[in-house]
Amino acid sequence: MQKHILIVDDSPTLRASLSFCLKNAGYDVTEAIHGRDALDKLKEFERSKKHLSLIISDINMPVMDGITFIKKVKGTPFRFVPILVLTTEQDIQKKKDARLAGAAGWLGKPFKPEKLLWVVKKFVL
Amino acid sequence: MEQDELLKIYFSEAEELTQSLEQSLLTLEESPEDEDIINEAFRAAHTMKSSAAMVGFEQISEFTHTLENVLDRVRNKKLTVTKELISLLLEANDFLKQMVENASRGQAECAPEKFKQMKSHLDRFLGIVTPEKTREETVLPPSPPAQKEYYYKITMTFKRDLFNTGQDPIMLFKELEKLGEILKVEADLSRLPPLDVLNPYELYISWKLIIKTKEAFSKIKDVFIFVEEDNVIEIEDVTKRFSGDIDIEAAHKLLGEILVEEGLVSKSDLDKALEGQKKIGEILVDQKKISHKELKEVLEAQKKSRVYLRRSTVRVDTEKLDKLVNLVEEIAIGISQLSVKMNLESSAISVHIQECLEGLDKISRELQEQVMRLRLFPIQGTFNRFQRMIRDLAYKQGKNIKVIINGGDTELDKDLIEQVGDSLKHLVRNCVDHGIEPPEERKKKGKSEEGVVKLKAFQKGGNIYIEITDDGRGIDEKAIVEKAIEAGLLKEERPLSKQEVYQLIFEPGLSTSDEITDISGRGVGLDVVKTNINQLGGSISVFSEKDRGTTFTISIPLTLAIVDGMKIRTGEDVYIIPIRYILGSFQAKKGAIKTIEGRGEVVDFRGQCLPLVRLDHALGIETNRLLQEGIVVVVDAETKRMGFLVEEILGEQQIVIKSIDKNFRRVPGIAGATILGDGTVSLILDVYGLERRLFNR
Repeated sequence: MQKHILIVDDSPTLRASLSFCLKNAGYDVTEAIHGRDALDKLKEFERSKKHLSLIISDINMPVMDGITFIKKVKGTPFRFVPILVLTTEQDIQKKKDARLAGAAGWLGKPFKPEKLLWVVKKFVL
Repeated sequence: MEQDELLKIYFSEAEELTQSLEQSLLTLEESPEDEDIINEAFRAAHTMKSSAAMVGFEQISEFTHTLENVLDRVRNKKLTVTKELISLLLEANDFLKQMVENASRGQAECAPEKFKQMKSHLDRFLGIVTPEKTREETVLPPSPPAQKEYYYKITMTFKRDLFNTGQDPIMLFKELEKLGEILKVEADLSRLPPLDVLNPYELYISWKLIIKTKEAFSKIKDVFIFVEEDNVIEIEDVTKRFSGDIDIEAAHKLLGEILVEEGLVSKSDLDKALEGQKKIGEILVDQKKISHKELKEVLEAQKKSRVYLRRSTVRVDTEKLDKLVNLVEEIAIGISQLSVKMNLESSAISVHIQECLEGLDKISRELQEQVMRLRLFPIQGTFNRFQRMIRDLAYKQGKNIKVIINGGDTELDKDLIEQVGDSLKHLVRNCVDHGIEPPEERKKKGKSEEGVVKLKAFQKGGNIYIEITDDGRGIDEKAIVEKAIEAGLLKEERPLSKQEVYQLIFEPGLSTSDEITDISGRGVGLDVVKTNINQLGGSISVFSEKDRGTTFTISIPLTLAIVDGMKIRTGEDVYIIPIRYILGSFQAKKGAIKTIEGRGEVVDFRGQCLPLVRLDHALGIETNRLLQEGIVVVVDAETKRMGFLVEEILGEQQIVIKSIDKNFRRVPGIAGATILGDGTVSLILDVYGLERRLFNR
């Protein structure tokens, strides 16, 4: 079955890079520009009964930041979908916050395609 | 996806981010405690950092990292916002822009020394501690209800010698009273001299009034038909502001603003009174009506909704837009060709088809309009850039300048914004460099030390108006006249009207000289500005008063690509005259065309002696005919009216201007070409260019 990944980032560059790498590796990708937008996208998933394999989300975003978004996801039918956060390597506090909110792992920015896919494969069977 | 495409996405993102960062910084300078703005600036830097790293621009990423750290300190209240800090951050942002631009050209992002230097400037700010403060809120105005009656705001500033021309403001008021109800009149008596020096034959008073009427704009404008040429009459439709005779805009204005506007208190008095005042949120917290936490949450929600508002747009490649515009034009031409061909037929079917074509034509016109609309951009972005420029210039020159922006949401054709931008920049620069006086000088004159530059844009009819106003020293008419005589532009010192003097400052001979800048305070390159604006089919005018300031008004057509044209024929050739230049036309009978010694051929138009232009001669078409009669099309050119002698007027048509510069050299007097309904190509006349060529201006 085709694996579907939701990516959430306010930077068009990051979104384009992520979705390029993932699509090339054979995943289906949906993009959202911030937490609120991502929640809307999840609702669409729910309506169309689509299966979601993974969420990759930035933390610092307008309208709704990544931490709040993760907390909200935990109240939806998608609460068991693993969530990866995008963060810079040094930002330990952010990683902790994300972990506490319920993130399953993190991915450092900037990432190399191989690294991205290596991490993703750990979560998507 | 190609690497190129990712880079394209990145560069467009980077441009948006630096622009947004700059705007945040400017706003931050005005309200240094605004947490929303600080957060926004921080986020812009943060996003910039990671996306630059993603595409491999390490220097950009590293630099934004430092910038982000400085902003983080501001966010955590470890650093106070000062003018110095903002200046540095703006400089850093400029540097960032430069790096992005270099990168986009495929060059190195920047020289290592420069990078070190800029970074060390920022590093200095990574270690100073300062206290905290709170912030303010505003309420968005609700949309006003619709109604049948109109409200106009009319501002009348007359020439002093108005009475000599047989005019009297009282007559105007009486006329206006017939049209509707005058709700409010304000007379500006500030120019009224003491009684002993008052000349009863001169007019010192100007008026502002608000009238409620059922009449259309043009009816109101007609009242001023005799005075509008020489005086400054501004009519503004303010219907939106009113509901049942009540100025609902006053509701959204702050009391202080209204008091200043009505001239009851000065801006500085108001500022003084406001200093001791608390923000609404603080007051409520103090009264224990809400908690700090609740206040913060509400403000947070407000901020988020604003951010969302700003983001809900779609970006489209301008190239795609241009292609779309071109295709829509082709459709319009196709339809009109078909309709011409069908006209030649006369069967019953052709009548039906003709009907369908008319419907199609209507739709295609609408489509055309909507597509053109896509090219429209709000002018706010340009104004914001000026705000930044004014700030920097003022800071350098030790001046205190406040920028007021009005009508930033006025939309202009994208190309037009770009083309008019430089001219505006020039005018704005003039205001700051020469218009606004240094604080001490202003104080001596009894003015507030803070100068004001107003940028205003609005649409009226098919034109966009942009006004740049300063409250500085104004234009020194005497110095200009003296200079003009010296430069040989004026033969002798004869009394000139204010407008005539103002026209002088746009003369090339006068403005290219550097000395004039020192004498008149205005000048370098205004002729270039005027030429640019004219090339866009627009015009520029100026109004100034000594020590009260100067206003430049630019009017430009809404869009460059489509104009209403009049098809005329002379000999074999069909030409198009853009309708906005045409005042009227009349049949010139035999003998109507006279020759005056030294002025050439003239023709009489409503008692006015107009120079007559034979189009075929003017355009250098060889002909041995010399028409003795025909139709005279009267046009309003740059400085004078003139009549074009043509053989036939073929009718009105919406035309799409196609540039011919690419294939031919530029011909003065020809603005471009268009394809007519029957598929033939016709030249569009450039009225201003023709005038310059024929009358050697």
